[in-house]
Amino acid sequence: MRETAWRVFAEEFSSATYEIKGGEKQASYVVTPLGAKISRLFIVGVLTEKENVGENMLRARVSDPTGVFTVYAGQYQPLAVQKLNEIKTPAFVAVIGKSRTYSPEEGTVYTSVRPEIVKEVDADARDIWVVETCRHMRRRMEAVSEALKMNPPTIEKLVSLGFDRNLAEGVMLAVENYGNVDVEKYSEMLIEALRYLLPGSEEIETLPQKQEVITEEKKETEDEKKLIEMIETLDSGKGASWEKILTKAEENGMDKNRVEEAINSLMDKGIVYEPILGRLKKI
Amino acid sequence: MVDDSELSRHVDDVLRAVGNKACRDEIEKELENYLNKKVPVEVAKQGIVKKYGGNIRELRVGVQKKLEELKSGEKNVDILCRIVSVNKRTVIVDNQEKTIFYGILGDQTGTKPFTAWDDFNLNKNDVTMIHNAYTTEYQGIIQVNLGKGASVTKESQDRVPSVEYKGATIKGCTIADFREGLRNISVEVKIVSVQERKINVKGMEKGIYSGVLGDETGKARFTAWHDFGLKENDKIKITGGYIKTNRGRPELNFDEKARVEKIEKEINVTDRRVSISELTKIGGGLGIVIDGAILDVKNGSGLIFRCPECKRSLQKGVCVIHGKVEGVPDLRTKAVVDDGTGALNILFGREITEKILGKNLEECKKTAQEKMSTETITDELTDKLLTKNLEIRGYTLKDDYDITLIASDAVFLKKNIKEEAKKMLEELI
Repeated sequence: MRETAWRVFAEEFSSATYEIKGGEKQASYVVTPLGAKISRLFIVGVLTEKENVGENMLRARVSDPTGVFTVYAGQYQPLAVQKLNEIKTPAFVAVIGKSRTYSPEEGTVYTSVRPEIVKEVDADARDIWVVETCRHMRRRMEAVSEALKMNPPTIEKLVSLGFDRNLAEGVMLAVENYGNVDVEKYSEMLIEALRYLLPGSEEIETLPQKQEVITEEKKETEDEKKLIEMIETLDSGKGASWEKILTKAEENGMDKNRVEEAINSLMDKGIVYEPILGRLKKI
Repeated sequence: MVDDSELSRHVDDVLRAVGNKACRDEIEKELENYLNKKVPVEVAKQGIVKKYGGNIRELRVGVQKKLEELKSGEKNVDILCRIVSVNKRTVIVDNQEKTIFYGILGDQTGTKPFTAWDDFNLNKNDVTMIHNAYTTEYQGIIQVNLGKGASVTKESQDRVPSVEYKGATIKGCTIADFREGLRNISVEVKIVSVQERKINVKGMEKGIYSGVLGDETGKARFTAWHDFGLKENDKIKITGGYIKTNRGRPELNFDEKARVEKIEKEINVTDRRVSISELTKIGGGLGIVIDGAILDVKNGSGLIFRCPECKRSLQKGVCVIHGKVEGVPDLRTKAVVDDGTGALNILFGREITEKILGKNLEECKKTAQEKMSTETITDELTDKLLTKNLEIRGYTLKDDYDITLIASDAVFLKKNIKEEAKKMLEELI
């Protein structure tokens, strides 16, 4: 049976510290605090950087609304390496790969992805992936919440509530190894990820004041437009520095607050991103 | 505990086995002695019989148990029960026809199915003591068996109260509930198609009727082993059907013992949308709809050449059966679809592959000739499909390893992302 490709956000994947080591013919699994028991995963995000680390090894970063995946491709993934070399950052990419962990010292675990397939995709593919991953994550949150209510939780009880056996197994491992999982934290992450798809959705609860919302949005859009222009002109390859943008914006009559607000909104919409701290780049 | 009346039955049993080589008092004392030392009664009896030079095969009376107490793999068990139902069936054992009897046994604690491998003259509603039965387990259900060593004595009616058999009629079953091994189900369906087939039973020609039936939850194949006069578009209620799987797909079977009645009811037959994990659990089906992403396009996809004799795809112009042949060009896609709950093999034939590529077989042949390679078509197909979300319809086939969905249609999914995200967000806040 082929291993299922789990849909997880970077934040959930990187918070995993528990691994089941496989054998010669057995898959290894990374178990997340929400019970995703991952051997294979499917991610779509923005390829933000790539660099050669060591011989024949390429490290790439793929960002999603919650965080960043680290992807390592080496000599045994020649097609993935070739693709990663071809694709210019930043670009929307889909990666199908195997979960890996690296533990430099006791108690520290870094998760990464070893790609089987890398492909350049478009913004729609990213949006589809985000909403789908939200759906899967919500299901896992429900399963973990149910398991935490049980005394003791069992796979059978979870299955009888309608959860897939595969998920129930993962959730049991998560509850055993992470104890009292903070589901609330993931709930906030989920809301954030959904808002990412709906720019301006903070206003969802105040829908009656529609008129006001629209005019406000317009004003922002003008600021945003100006800022996008500035970022593009100031960017000489590695992104535009935050100080330079601020100086230029103030020359154009925007104060720091307005600039921050507009930049945050642009990042939320996935129009600009931060390749390295303090620098901004248009996608 | 072994009570007095039971004890005396065991003493009788031992006496018979030792062929009156010992007197009754002696055996009784021996047995009590064994039992006081907490030796199980079966072991005790065997010990005594051996001690007196008898034949342990002659021992007949086992431990008496209630139906609910029975576990799998019991031997020499006695059951006082009522015959709730009994049916006759002919089976072939070692090339010989044999009549067996099967049905349901009941007592105060419950009911269990049974099979009698000989004629014990069992009649419905008889209260009987069954001696020396054994149990087996089939699909999680304990079954009582009456083999060569078994015997039956008729008891008075008041020893077991009448038993209400609630067991297995599964009422209000839908096609989505069909699972291997279900028996005695009742289901309301519409006949989508039906064909008659003649088979030979004991030199007599017999018609069997098979086809596709459906309800609001899906479709399934069926076989009626009796002429119920079924016609396309008939809406019927079938009571007493059973499910058998064929290459992983659950199918409904019903014979002359089933009740078929026409019903007046609107039934909209629909395809069944399932997650891949659910489909894997059921084993397969007909009229299945899957939403998922294509995560692998396999070798052998694209422009292929088939053997003109057997339609197998050729490896470097050679058919595994017919050797070197002039290949007939065709298009197909072998891929893996994954919806995050599971992964499934899929197969697209020429029509769907042409639709995905946006060009027909002739055009593909031309492209391949220009590029001097069929790989260019495989690459095009991979590029079109990989990581894309599709809605795929079809039926499944299961082999030893995997389930494959044979597609009848596939379309690229257009999702209203904003709508879906908004809905989910509103549910969360």
